[in-house]
Amino acid sequence: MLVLTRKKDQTIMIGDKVEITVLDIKGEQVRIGINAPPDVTILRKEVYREIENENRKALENSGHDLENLAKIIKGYKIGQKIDI
Amino acid sequence: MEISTRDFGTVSIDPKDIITFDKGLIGFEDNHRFVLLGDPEANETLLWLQSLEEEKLAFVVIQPRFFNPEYKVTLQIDEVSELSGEDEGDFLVYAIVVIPEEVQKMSANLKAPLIINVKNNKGKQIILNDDRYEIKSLILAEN
Repeated sequence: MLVLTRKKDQTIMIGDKVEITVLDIKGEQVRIGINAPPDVTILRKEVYREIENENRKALENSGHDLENLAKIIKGYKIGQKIDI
Repeated sequence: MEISTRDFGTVSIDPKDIITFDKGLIGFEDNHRFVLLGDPEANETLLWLQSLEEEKLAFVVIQPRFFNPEYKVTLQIDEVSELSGEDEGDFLVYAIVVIPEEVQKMSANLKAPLIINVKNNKGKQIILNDDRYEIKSLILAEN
């Protein structure tokens, strides 16, 4: 990891298309501004990780009777208790 | 062409049906080629998104309209052009389903749906900024 120290209003460039600026520092919080082209995805890392984890959990779905589940989804009434 | 699937053995598919995810899926950025498998007559609600590159990579997916008719995805212009789409009708939306032990709690990821351009079979998993939608949106609740 490259470690840089910046003050408020200072900027870092990543490649020639991404710019990160420290906008404000208040106690433990840093407000960061990011300039990047639209094809660059910008995410809080924990959101990325959450989705990655959920994608992985989805792989554990083996052996379910999808047809049966599909019928249940189609015919579901709110509050109905399902016996699967 | 023949492909190996996780749950259905060897299956014959039409290469025209291959969906290309240039950026893969989140956490699976190296997997680009998938195909949707299922029996639309028996069950149009739940399909499998099967990887062509890795047999074990298969996801159950659902179109959100089947359990949340009000779900709307707003695509950014750059997302649309990345998939070379021209208008709304070009896109299908799917959400990845998680079926836990307690099947009643099965959920779909409405926060990070899969967008597929049906005209050129390009797909992408996008993350919505919208706070209304959850990573674990219950399918059997508030239908």
